[in-house]
Amino acid sequence: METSPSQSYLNSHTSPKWTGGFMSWFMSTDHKRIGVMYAVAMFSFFFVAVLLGFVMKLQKMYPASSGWEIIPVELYGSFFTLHAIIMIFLFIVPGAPAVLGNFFLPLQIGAKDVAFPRVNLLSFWLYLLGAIMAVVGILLGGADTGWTFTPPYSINTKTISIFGVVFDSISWMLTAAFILGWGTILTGINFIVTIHRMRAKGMGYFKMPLFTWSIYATSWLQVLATPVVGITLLMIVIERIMPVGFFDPSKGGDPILFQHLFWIYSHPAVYIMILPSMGLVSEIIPTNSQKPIFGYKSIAIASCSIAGVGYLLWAHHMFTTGMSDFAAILFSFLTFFVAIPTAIKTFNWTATLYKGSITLTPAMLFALAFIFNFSIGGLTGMFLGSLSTDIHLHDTAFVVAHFHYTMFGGAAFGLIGGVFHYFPKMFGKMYSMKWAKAAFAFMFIGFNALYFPMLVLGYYGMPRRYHTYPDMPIFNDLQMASTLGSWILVTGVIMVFGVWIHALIKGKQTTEINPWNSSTLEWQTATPPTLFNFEEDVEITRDPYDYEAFRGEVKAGTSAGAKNV
Amino acid sequence: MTTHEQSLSPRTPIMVFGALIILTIATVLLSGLDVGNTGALLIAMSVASIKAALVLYFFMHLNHEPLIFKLFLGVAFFTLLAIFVLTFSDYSFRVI
Amino acid sequence: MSDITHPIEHHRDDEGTRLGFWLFLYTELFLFAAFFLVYSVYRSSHLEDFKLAAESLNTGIGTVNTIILLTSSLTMVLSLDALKKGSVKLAKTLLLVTFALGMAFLVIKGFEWSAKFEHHLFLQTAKGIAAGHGSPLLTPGSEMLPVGQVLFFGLYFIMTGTHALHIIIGAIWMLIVFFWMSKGSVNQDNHGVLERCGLYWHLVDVIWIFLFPLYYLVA
Ligand code: HEM
Ligand SMILES: [Cu+2]
Repeated sequence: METSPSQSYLNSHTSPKWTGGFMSWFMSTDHKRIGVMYAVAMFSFFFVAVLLGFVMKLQKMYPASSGWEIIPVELYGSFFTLHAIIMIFLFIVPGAPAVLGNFFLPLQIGAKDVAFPRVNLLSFWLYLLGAIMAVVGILLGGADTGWTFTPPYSINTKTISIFGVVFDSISWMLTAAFILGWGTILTGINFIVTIHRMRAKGMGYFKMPLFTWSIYATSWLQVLATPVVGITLLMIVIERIMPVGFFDPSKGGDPILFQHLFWIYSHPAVYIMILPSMGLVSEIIPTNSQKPIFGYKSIAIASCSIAGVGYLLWAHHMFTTGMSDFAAILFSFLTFFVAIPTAIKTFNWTATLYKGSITLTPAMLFALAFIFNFSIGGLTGMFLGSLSTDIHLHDTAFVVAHFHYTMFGGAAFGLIGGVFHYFPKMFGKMYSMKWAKAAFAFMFIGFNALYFPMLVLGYYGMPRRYHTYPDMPIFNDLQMASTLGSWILVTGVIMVFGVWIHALIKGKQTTEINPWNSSTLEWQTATPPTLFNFEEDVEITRDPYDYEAFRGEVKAGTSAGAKNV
Repeated sequence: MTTHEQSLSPRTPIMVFGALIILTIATVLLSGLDVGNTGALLIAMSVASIKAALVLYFFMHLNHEPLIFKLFLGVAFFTLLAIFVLTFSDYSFRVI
Repeated sequence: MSDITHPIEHHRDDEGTRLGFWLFLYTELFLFAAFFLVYSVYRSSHLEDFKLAAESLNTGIGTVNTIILLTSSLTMVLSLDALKKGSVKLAKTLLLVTFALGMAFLVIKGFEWSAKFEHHLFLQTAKGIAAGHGSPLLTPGSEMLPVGQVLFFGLYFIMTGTHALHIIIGAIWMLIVFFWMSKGSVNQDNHGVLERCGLYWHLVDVIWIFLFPLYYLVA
């Protein structure tokens, strides 16, 4: 096949050896192809986990006394564990950086690729290896420890034997998580170096688009937090197979110490999940308001301070574990600080809307839904962060609703919105606006119908991770509403996939460079981008969200934002 | 290619090495002192930190690297510090 | 067809590569930091046991190993400097010396470990313990060590073991670089690999600089 760098990346290859079919993707070091591969893998896993969630909700449609049982008690534990492991480790933690970060970070800063393209491919392979290991572990033995792997249960719970061969599925899954962790770490390193070393001429730090800023903050968390949990999970493996004591109380260990180490990673991890989506919202909103984003610098700095402060809050997950009162008060106090930069961002987004000429594209709808959902997620987080209320709400459905509001209604909605935003640029195909908006409506309504009742359920004492509940009117009604909501939501998710797949196969071909009239650099190059992203070296002369200058450039016919030199 | 000029004479590394050996012997000898638990820990950790700093700065050539490398080290160092201090905000105040 | 190689490989950014490698080193550091945190917490809560258990470690051996490792760091620095000056032969010799010192460290560590094995303070699989030939370290019942010491030995083996694993990785890496230097692909102009190998080796040294006092001196 004839390939040349000025062809679309979909037709040109980084290696002369692999130029066709599957291998031309699997061996490609092109950041754009890697991003697309991540997208395919991640959304497939996401779909499986959605189905698991759907079944769990079905189980809770009627109370125990009605005799209703979709999945037996023992299996429920495996279901929520697998649901969460897939959603967290295979979907939302790699999340937006792996898909859209890979694809658009170099484009946004005018680079030809990331700093270490081959390491980038290695990250993807590690992700795939870890994911396959996790899936094999799920199929062979599963785990019912919860995605938090809390000891001593995770240390003492038995191994299973398959045809007489002992298979330690818990250790296996932990190792898979460790490998997945290295995938993320390498991506983080790659992005940090890319941002520091590969910006185009004229692209100062405060001329970078905000998605790049959010990826930068995220990458630091990936590099500095992931190793801690990686080794902690391995400590559990070691403790399972060797006679050493780390966390098992019968060997003198302190299980609370595990929780410290686990949350030292996993609290920053929630910012790994949410920050990139915040970055996407910061791209979608100014584009669809045709206005400079309000408070550019404060959003950029807020991203970094969320990452910084976010590292210091982890023990707010542990108020009820028996840690010292002093630490509980301290961590509760610190938790409130992270609300400040978060609120700054929210105010800035809404202020950007003010007097903008707003177009409600599907991406914009998801971005607005992000603000709505994430505000609920964030504010309920304040309930959980304050010591006294958390004692009541801890480990109830309130917590489940809270983190779905942030991780699903926030991070995943942002990611899906981002994919809608960038879809035409990525594939040169246009999707059906009508169906995309319909899918959004189902997702938004279904989402809130599913999780809002759970906030109330939790407040009334419905525990988390329970397979059923007593027959009481308040429980029965809210659980039923919540289950019905899950049907609407899952319909919406299926519709989103339908819209994407239909667009890829039968969508209208487009080479329109800038369908949404966006002022940032990634839109000022061919659709789909060529192998090396830009035909010539680019030079940046204006701020990323300077819409006035952008409109001038459009009128004058010079390519916006970037001047070819 | 390294852009910065650096002298490649073995003088500095050998001097640094001498200092490291002296510090090693010093910390072994000092560990014999009866200064209580905190005192011993403090001495040993201070000496170890100095040694680590020497290795980082001279052997790992941080002295020749641009500012950004030092900033990164600062970020890593303060994060580590935060992890330890905050974890001990729990363990130092445990009532058992 | 035009032979497209990646644009990035055309223009080499040594400083960027070093920056990335330093970030990688920080992840290694944080990996050990988790161990150190576990150590510090249990040391503070089981001080007496830690002190008792540590008496079975030989300070002399620890000191010798520290000096070996520091010396290997020096030869590593000199090897890189030699390569930068263009004396490949000297660089290769010094790299071999570094490698040999690393091996010496491992051998001594091995003797130290096997001494512990003989005192039944050894690592054993959970299966072996269930079968009844467990070490007094963990066999439930009369002879079990106090939990503080169980924690100490567990940490000692796993932390020094992880460190030894890093030594092995570093040593293998050195052999590879040595091979490349013989082939000429690593040379005065292209010394990045040796530089990174050295950085890695020094980091392993830094970690030992903290392991040594914590296990052999203050406990
Ligand atoms: C249609 C979509 C989804 C449905 C129906 C759903 C449903 C559920 C249900 C029923 C539970 C168990 C609650 C309990 O029994 O305590 C759960 C737990 C969980 N979900 Fe989802 N979920 C969905 C999407 C997501 C997404 C997108 C994420 C993350 C990005 C996510 C992350 C989690 C986590 C972390 C848990 C905690 C499991 C545990 O307690 O160990 N879920 N979900
Ligand atoms: Cu948290």
